[in-house]
Amino acid sequence: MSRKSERLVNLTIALLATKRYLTKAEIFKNVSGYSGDAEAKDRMFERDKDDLRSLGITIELGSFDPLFEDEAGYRIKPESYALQLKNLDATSIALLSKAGKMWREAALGQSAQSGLRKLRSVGINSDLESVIELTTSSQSAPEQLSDLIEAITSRQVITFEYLNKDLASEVRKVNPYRLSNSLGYWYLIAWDLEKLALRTFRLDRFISSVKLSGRNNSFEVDVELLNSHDLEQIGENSDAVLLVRKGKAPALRNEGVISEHDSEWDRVNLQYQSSKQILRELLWAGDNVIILEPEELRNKLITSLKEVIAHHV
Amino acid sequence: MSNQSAPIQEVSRLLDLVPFLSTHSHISLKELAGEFGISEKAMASELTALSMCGLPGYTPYELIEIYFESGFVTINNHDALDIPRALTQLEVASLLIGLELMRDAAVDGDSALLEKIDSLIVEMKSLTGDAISISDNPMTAFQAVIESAIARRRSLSLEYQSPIRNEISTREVDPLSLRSEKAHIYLVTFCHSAKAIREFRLDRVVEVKEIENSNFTPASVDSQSGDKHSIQLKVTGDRRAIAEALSITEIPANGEVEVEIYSPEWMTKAVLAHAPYMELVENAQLRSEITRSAENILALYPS
Repeated sequence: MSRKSERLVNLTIALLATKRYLTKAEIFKNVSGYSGDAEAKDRMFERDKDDLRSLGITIELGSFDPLFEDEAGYRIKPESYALQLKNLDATSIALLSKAGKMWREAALGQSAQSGLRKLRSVGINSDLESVIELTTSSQSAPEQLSDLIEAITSRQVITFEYLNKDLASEVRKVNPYRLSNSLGYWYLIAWDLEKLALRTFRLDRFISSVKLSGRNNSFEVDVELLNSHDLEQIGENSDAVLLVRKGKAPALRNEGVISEHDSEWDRVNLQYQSSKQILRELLWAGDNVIILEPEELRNKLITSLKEVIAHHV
Repeated sequence: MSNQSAPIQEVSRLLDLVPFLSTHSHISLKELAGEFGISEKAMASELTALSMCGLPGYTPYELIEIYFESGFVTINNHDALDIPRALTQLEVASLLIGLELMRDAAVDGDSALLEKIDSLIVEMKSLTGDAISISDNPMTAFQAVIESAIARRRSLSLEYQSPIRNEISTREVDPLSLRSEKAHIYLVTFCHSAKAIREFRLDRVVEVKEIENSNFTPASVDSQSGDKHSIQLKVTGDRRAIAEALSITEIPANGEVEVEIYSPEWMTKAVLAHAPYMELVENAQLRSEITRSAENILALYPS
């Protein structure tokens, strides 16, 4: 046990128990563990504040009396220190316990466990019977997830290596905005500091861990831009008209509006964003689909297939 | 959490120990150590440290009192710290994500319970803002069963809702892989009744069950669907998309890769889907199959 952790606990107790702001001088005089000259104590105190902040403890800076220019002081407001969740009962504790057990890997699992410990110290027994019907499959999350959550919540710039379209590694530097999970993939939506645009990154394409720049609050989230941003982030919608063989290509049918064409084919109207992606899907459906419009897409398909034949004859 | 230094993690435990002991009086040292994920010895030394902490003054009146009575721990004089601590962002996030995945998997559950999950999610979300979001995840419900069956080569019984016939049918399949295309995930299988490779869109799968004592091997799949295939490919573009489709992580600069495949049908489709960036080297039979399939599609576009 180091002196440092005792000092941090003592500092927390003193700042929590006080009803008024404590000046630095009072802290150094009364809280056990501050030693050395004034400068050394100052440095120690600054580090301690950062350390407590990293534990989610906010030290408030204020003054005794707004009418006088007193020396500012410090305290921790019990309401900011205390567990935020209200109305916890045995069922909600049980639900959260189950939720916390879903993580297979260390990083998120650890924070889920430390979170659960706090919940258990409320002293409400968990009613596991009430949630017995819920099944949990253990989830595996990308190793970068916990660092990304930290970077997003503390608003730190990050760098990481990312696989580009040519499968080459690229270093990206971004302001991380939002994490999102969709259909089994994790996405990071972030402001790319080199491309100066919002970009979506898939976490399974990260090929390094995430480096945090270390400075908190180094950017503001552009909420309006973020909310207008589509996960797939491509461009405007284009319309395609297809003929799809009856009973075939269910994926395409599901995305479009189907109408009768003849006894063999249905007509499917659908919208797409990336011509590359839709082409891949149409080719996957093979000879069960005919592109009527747009002509550009139709030509692209014909050229690509002619190339394939040339490669394989 | 993970990248915090040892003293900081200690502080975190010490602060959490106080309210925990307050509501778990006379807990055994063993249980307490287990709860905090450290050894009994380390826990004993942390409890000793805690008893050195207290209010300024640090006389016996101000220090936290810890009692060990034949292996059981009690705390006293700890009012200032007797507050369950706020969850950190990372703690909120890991619990919130767990809750959301759990709710996704429990679509048909008891509605009162689902309501309870939803209201917890709302409360947890108010603590993180919009930083993290989980959208509907058809993967979740059957993901674990399917992934484990693929890994252990167990056959599955699928109840599948056919969108065309608008009916639910049951199929027995050997699950080979999961493939994602745009917003959907497909389970690629060798279907026992069709005796061929069939894909099932995961959000149309109604029920999945592992078939007891089943055990298929790639060889058994191959014996039913053709030869065993080690395939030489040349990749000339779209490298990331192709690597992801083939479940490989690297493609050398010259674009030449060798992959093992279960199904020539699948390979043909994949070459066409990534046209014109994937080229099959050698394997005359499959090459002519690819050419034939491409010509079949082109025949639909008479010039």
